[in-house]
Amino acid sequence: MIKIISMVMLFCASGFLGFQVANIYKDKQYFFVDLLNFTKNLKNEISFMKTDILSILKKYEYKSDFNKYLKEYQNLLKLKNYTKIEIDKILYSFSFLSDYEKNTINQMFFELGNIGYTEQLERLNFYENVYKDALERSRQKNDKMIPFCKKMGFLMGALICIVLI
Amino acid sequence: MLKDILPDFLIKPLSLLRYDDLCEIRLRLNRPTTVNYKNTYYFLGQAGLCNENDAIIATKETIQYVISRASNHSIYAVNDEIKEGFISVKNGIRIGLAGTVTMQNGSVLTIKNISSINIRIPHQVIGASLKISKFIFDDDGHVLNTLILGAPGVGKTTILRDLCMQISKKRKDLNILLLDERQEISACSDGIPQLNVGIFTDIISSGKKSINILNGIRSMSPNIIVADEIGNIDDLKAIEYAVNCGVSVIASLHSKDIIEFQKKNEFENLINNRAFKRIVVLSQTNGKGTIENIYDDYFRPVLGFV
Repeated sequence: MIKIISMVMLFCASGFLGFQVANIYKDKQYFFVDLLNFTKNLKNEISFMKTDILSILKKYEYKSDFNKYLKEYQNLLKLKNYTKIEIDKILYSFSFLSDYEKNTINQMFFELGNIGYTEQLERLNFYENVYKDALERSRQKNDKMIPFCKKMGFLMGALICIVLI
Repeated sequence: MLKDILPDFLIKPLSLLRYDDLCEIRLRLNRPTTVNYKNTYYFLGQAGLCNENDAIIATKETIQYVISRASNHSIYAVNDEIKEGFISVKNGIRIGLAGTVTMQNGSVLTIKNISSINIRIPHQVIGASLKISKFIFDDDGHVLNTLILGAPGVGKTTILRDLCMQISKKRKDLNILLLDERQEISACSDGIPQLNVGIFTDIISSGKKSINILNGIRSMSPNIIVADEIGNIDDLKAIEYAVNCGVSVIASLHSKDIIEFQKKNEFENLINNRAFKRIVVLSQTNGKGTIENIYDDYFRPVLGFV
């Protein structure tokens, strides 16, 4: 009886693990969805309202990990002095992003508010396209990886059960 | 307020000075920082006022820091002001900029490589316009169109601010429309004037004076329009329109004296039409806001003014 219960538990744990790994891929996709939306909002706020950056940051809330990034960036702006290194640090914990993606995002936030109106909008257009591509790649990868991770979780569970039998 | 826009190493020595006597802080790239304190220029060092060798040298980072903080980390948001060569900060502080001007189709696109900044700190001097206010009313109690002349830094803005307040105090039946393009006169923050410009004064901040005059006359039906630093053709056309609408105009203009003013071609129409009934000339002879003379529309000194 104990053996059966253990096997069921192991099967469930392995399946759960598969879902967790799949969620990492989802996190990245959601992060880019929010980042892209934020970039679009930013462009609108700057072109039509010329709203200052702190007011924009206060205005928008997101559900993904991107919200954490925004909050930390907002806190950084309130400090008297901050450097690009401090902006870079915010993304250290976002393990699902590649170094290239981290550098691009950091660069955008470092430039934000430090360049003139026309240049700022041009740069935001550039970043918007970069994020669109990144989101598309993330979606394509997720279409393959998420079902794969889930299946692998259950298969591993089943495998362990067979070995135990 | 200065602590919000200046780095700590400048705030510390500035805190040793009396804020009320501080008029300007000038940062020039790779050169010593200077301050205008009690109407005299001094070098600023770590221990306060100092000699040239001990002065704090302004770096590119210092200048960038001030601009970034002054624009609330949003340089794009103050692009229109930068084009005009300044950034307005809270409490009426104005930062003048000098650098490389980028032009497009004959107009300024932006100022790059900013190498000098001049932080001007406004001070309210209550009663500064009392000597003038006696002469700007006619026998029927109407406010006469008045032009205040003076070189930069002689106190034109201070006099205008005080005139708004004094007129509001004296006459409860006159609505004043203050066109505060650079937000120096009223130091408006979120629509609330930080400096006293009187209770009957409506304020239009930012924007072009020429447009604001036309809009303001239609929307606020003022009795008096007050504007600082007029000079371009559009401003003068709008002022002419205001005068023809029966609105009194009180304005200031950069001009050293009455002779220099008479030579200004763009004012030909207004001079020929004798639009300005009072022309006040300011100087710094006996300190800021010294009234050199008051002239009438024929450029004769006004009787009774000593």
